[in-house]
Amino acid sequence: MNKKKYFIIIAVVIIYTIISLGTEKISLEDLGIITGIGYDMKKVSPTEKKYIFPFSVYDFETSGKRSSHISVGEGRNVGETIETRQKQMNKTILQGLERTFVIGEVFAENGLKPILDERARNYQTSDMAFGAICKGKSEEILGMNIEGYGSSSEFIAGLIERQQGYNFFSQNYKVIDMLVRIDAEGRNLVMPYIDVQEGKIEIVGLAIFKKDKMIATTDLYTAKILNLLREDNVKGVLSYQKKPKEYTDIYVTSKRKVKCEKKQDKYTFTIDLKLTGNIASNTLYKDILTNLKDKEEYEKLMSKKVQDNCNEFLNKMKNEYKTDCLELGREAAAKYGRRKGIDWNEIVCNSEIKVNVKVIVNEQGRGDFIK
Amino acid sequence: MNKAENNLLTNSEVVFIIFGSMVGVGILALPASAAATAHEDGWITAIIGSVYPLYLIGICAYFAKKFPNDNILVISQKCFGRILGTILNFILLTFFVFLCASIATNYTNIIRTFIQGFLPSYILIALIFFVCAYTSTKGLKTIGKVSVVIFFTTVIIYFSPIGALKSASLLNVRPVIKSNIKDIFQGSLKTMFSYSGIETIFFIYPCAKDKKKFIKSSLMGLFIAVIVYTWVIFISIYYLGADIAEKNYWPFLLVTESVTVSIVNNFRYIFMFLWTLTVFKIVSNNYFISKVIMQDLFKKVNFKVLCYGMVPIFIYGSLRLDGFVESGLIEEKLTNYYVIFILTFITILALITLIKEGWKR
Repeated sequence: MNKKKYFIIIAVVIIYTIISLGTEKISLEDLGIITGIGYDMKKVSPTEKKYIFPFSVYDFETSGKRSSHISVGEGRNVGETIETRQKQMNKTILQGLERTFVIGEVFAENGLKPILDERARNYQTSDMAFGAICKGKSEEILGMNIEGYGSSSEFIAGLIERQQGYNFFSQNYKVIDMLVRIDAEGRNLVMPYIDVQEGKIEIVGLAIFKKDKMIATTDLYTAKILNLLREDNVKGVLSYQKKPKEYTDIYVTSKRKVKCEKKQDKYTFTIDLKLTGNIASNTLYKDILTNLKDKEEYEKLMSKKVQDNCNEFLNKMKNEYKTDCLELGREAAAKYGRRKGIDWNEIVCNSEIKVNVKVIVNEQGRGDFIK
Repeated sequence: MNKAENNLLTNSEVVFIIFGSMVGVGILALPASAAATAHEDGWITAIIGSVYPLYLIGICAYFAKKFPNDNILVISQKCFGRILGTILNFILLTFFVFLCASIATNYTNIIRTFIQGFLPSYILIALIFFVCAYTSTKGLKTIGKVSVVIFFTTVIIYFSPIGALKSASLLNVRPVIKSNIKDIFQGSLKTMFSYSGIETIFFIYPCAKDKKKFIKSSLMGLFIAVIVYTWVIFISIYYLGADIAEKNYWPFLLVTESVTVSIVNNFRYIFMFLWTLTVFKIVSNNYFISKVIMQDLFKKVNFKVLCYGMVPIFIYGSLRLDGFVESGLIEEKLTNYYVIFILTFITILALITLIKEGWKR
């Protein structure tokens, strides 16, 4: 018995040494940890394009200081960018800890397919990094210095993640969401659109995609309505303002239900929005909580207003964007079958879309000061 | 209770040996092939595909009643005569070698892609087979106990992406059974192969303690396997959508990684560790069965020598299958042939025993 024990111990030690032979250990100071990736494109000639991928890389110094720099990979294909990036690096690249990816406008307009394949194949990267489309070049935004942050990519990741709860933004702007939406039948991608305004990085709207190509960007107001119509279970503020000093704001949570009907070859979509919320501030109705009439009037007015805004957006979607940014085609495909070669963007834009909005005030806060 | 009886398998051990011989490496890649053929109805194929193991269990019930103490090797020699019987048994042996080899290569492929790129595949393969050889020297009872323990420690990995239910939408799996029936049938043929390993039952029924409940236990094992397969395919299509699930080589892994577990920072390594255990279990189960056949062919050789002596054959087989493209092509063809062989072999065997019985009367 004892002999066997020693034999097993010796065998384990030998196996361990064989396995660990030839593996190299690298200290933290020699690692370049990628925190953010940018994707840009430049047209060299009408037919030839050049990829420019800036990487935001952390440097750890022996003194314990942490800083970051941008290293840029350039090339005619993704593989070339990897090699040119390393030309200026004295460290080993470590992937998998990146927090964000920023795609430049020009790149997005030309289609995301080149990076999608690389992303789906690369097993080292993180699928949970948040993404955004930026105005101009991504290199400039990634290279910005923001006080209190090691690199701007950390700030951008937080910026996108924390939009949830306001303007009806969801959190579906990660790599995995991008992979899941592009190429799926009846689905379309939208991404946050960021820009530098007065020296600060800001969310300025949404970028709308058709398949893998960006076709339009919106302002924040349109983005809010788009989000409301597109996402389920999201939060935001709605206001009704009569005069500059008379207004009522409510903070609502949305519930979205879509019905789809097909008569002959005509589709009809009905979006039911139920918005329940609490009063955030109120200077308009004196006794909105004691008088049922006032409350009902307010709910009706608010519903009407949101419904009008929605219809306005739907008109814009049908005539200007000509894309199904509300993923209504997905609902129809789920009901009437897939893989029939139907272009849902066209079908949705040419069919009737009804919106029913119901606003319900059910919470009031802790006091009422206007009385 | 005497020692011989102690070495027999209890009911729960039977359940988990049968479950453990089928479910292992396939769960990661299965959703991709199911989604590629049957699209959003992929999860139904796992249920329809269970026809194959059900049929084998049915025939096994008949054998267990007729020859409660003889395994399939003895029966085949009784029916086909000594020479032909031995040849057929040898083909059966190659099937188990192939099964182990293909599992080991698939495993090394995934493990080298995701966590251990620095290890050459032959070291990994050699390690797997030495561990399995060691396990099988300990006998069937140990295999049974190991199967039970590993099932309960690793059951969490099958159901770890349960959080995905909240974040995706049921729209991805709808419409139900509106895609082509032919597609679903083709998908079922593919998922059917993921149940191979069920052939183990023909070797272990003489070793069951409670022979009356053996069939009930094996049906239970199959039932758990069907549930796991259906769930794995369902959640992958539910979370990713059929169009995307087929584009990934291992969609289930993508789903588990996308669902964040709040306490655990990087779930991939925990998943891989637990999943490695299931792979070791499935290989050692099938390795043990190959050893049983080998023992039948070479009766005089010491069984421990045989256990370790078989390792080079398995390593050679695995290395022949190495390489992503090549192994995929060979495996698909060979599995088809083997499944057809096993179906005809078992059916003819059952028919001959049935006719012989009628003759006696």
